[in-house]
Amino acid sequence: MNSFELEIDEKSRAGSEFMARVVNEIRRALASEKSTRKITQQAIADKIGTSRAVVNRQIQGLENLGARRIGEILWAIGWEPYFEARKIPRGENNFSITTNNIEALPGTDRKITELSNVRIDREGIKLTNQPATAAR
Amino acid sequence: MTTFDKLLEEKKLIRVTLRLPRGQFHDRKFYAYPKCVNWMRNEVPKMVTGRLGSAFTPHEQLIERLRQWMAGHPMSYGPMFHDMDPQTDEVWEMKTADLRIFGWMYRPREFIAVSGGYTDDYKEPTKTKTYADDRRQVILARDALPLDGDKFAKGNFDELV
Repeated sequence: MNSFELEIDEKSRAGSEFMARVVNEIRRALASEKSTRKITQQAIADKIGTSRAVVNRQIQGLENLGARRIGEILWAIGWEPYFEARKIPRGENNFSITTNNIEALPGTDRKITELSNVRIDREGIKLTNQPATAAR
Repeated sequence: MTTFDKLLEEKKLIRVTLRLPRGQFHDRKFYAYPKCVNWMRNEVPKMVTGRLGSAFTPHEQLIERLRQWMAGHPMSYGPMFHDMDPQTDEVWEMKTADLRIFGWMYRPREFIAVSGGYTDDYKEPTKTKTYADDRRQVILARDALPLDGDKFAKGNFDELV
């Protein structure tokens, strides 16, 4: 089967994914509240002291929400945020480093003099070893 | 006429995937015409945020919307927030602040994307295209696809999404 995997750099992915999660949680909370009682964006805006347009942009995910505003919007509808940071399990973090002369390539005597990317994933450490950057 | 798998083999359609975050699993499928894949791959990453001034770049918006779709997460929250909408003629629109993706539901939870566009291009004062053009493009592409059996699924939002 032919398939194509879309990619984005890890930093953008981590940031945008978290922002999207926050926005979706606010939308879920708001939709849930609206299903049981009448609540408007204007009412939320009045309660937290801003305009309806700002609230609308924020719950649409158009503005980068600060932690304070997240708390305020949820408070205004009778909810509260729950946030917890956790360490990414070993071997599941992807990051890039640039360094020189890392002893590498198990099973060979080849060294990488220029490393553009070291990826650590479920299979372990993967070293990018392009012929142009590898030297004996 | 031919089968869906054959169309994938012949690269007339391409399955688009994403590496999902930990704890998320592929639930819905996303296919696209090669031209649309090219747009997602080469054009979207170069786009800048449009007039709505989203905090996300168009590329981040695309990845996030597809992640949401593929992971089986809600595509709507009540009547207020819809990230996907049915149009006329069984055409569906997937949307972000700056992007529009048009296609159809081949089967429930299996979307085929035909074309994509930049939201500001559909709106004055920089309007260069219309939603109707994209809908027509989807219908033409779907009609021309030599596919055995039903070409599209019918149903309401909850049945198909």
